[in-house]
Amino acid sequence: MKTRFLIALILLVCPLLKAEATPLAIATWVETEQNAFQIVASQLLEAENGDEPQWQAPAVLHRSENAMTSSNLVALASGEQLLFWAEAIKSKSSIWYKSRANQASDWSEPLPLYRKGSENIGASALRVGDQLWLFWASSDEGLPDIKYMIRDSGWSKPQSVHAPNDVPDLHPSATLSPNGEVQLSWLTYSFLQSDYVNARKEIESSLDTPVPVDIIDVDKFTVPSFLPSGRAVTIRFPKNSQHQSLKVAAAHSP
Amino acid sequence: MKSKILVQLAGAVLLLSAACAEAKAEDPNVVAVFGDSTSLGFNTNFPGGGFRFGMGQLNFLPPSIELTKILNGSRRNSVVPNLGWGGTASGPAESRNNNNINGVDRISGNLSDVKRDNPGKAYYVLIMYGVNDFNFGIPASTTGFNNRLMIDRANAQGFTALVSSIIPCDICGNSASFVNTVNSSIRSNVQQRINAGADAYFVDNFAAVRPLWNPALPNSYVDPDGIHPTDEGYAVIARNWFSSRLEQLIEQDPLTITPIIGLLLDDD
Repeated sequence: MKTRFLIALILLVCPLLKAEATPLAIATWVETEQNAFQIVASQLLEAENGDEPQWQAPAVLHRSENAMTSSNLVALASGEQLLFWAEAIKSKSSIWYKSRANQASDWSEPLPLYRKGSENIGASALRVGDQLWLFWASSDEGLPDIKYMIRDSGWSKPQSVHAPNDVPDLHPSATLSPNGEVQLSWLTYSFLQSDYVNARKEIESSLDTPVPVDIIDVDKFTVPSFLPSGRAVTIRFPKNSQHQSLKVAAAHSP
Repeated sequence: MKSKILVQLAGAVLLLSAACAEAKAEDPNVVAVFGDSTSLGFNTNFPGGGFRFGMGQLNFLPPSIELTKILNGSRRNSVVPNLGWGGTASGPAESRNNNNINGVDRISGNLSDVKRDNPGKAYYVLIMYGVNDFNFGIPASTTGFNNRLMIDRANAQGFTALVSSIIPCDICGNSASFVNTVNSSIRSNVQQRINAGADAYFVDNFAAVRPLWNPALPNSYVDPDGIHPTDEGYAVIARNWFSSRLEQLIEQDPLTITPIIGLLLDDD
C-alpha cells in the first residue's frame, strides 16, 4: 500500500518538477535573416532570488521564405501552445498556425487556417475558457473587414464581426470582461470624422464563471527597449485572463 | 543736364520699387519629400547615430540634396525640405505605445510646418509610403487607401501631391508580386482622387530603380543592406520625380536680365 502511494506520489510530482515556470510575458515578432523570415520569441521570467524579472534571449519559433507578420503565441489551459501568423505568398496573404503539445519539444507542421480572399492579416488571439478565439482583418477584393474563428474541439466556420463597408477595418484586439463577454476593438476609418477611429463590439461567450482579475496591469507594463523598430510586436501575458496581450509598433526613435 | 539726371533717377526708383514689389515671385518652389526611410535617404552612408527623420531640413541626405541640385540646375528656384521618417508606415498600426508615427497622422502638421518655415510661390509634396506596411499589419488595399487620405490632406494644406509606387524591398516582406499588388492599389487610389478633381499625380519610381535593383550588380541601386537605395539609387529616384512630373509642373525661372540701373545712371 505504501509502495503504491509512493509511486502515485512520484508520478504526480514529477511532471510538476519538470514543468517550466509560466512566463510573465512573451513577446513575438518577425525578423529577416539572410533573405528568409523567422518568428522569434522572448520570455519574461520571474527571477528565483527575488530580483527583477528578466527577458530571455530570443528563440526562433518558425522560419519561412515568405514574408510574415502578425505573430501571436498562445498557451492554452491544457499547456498546448499555438503560434499564429500572417504569411504573404505571391500576391496573397493568409493566416497560418502550428501547435506544440504540452511539454513537447517539436512543433507541428504549419497549417493554413484561412486562405480565402486576397488579404488576411493582423491575427489576434484570445483564450476564452478552453476555447481559443482568433480575430483578423480579411478582404476578398476591396478593403478589409474583421472576421473571427473559434477553436473548441475543432475550428468553427469564419464569421464576420460587422457588415461590409467601404473603409478599412483592421488591427483587431480582444479582451475578456469580468463576466466573460468578449470585448473586441479594431481600427476603422470614419468619413464623418475624417480620421481613423476605434470601433467596438461585445460578443457573448459560453463562459459561465467570473473571469479572474489580471495578475499584470497591462496599461502600466513597461515595454522593453530591445524590441525592434519598424515591426509589429505582440506581447502576451499568459497569467492574465482579461487583458491577455498588447501590440507594440514603433518607428525609429530620434 | 540736371533734368536728365532727375529723370534717370526717377526711372531707377521706379524700377527698384517694381523689383521690390515682385520679390515674392522670387520665392522658391517648395518641394517636400515625405515618406519612410526610402524618402529620408537612409543607407549605409547614413551619418551614424540613431536618428532617422528629416524634420524638414533643407539639403539633408540624398533625396533632398539631389532634387535641390536638379531643380535649381534647371533654373527652377526650389528648396526641398526632407520629411522622411525611418521605420514608419502609411497609416496607423495597432499600438499602445506613443511612438506610432505614420504618414496619415503626420502629413497635415508636417506640411503646415514646412509652409510656415519656407515661404514659397508653389508647394509640392512627393509622397512615397507603404514599404513598411505589411510589417505593421497593414494590407495592400489599405496602403492605397492611406495614400488617398494623404493626397486629400496635402491638397488641404495647399500642396500638389505627387504619389509614388513603393520601391522593391525583397527582404522587408515584399516579394515582387506582393509589391505589384501594393503598387496597383496605390495607383488606382491616386487615379480615383484625380478623377474626383484632386491636385495629384502618380509617379512610378519602382520602374525607375528595378533594372539595377540587385546588390550583385555593379552600380547597383540597392544598398548592401538589401533594403534601401544607394546614393546613386536615390539620384535615380530624384531624376525620375523630376522628369516624370516636376519638370512640367514647375516653370523655369526667366533668364536673369543684366541690371540696367547702372546704364540709366550712366551720364552720357
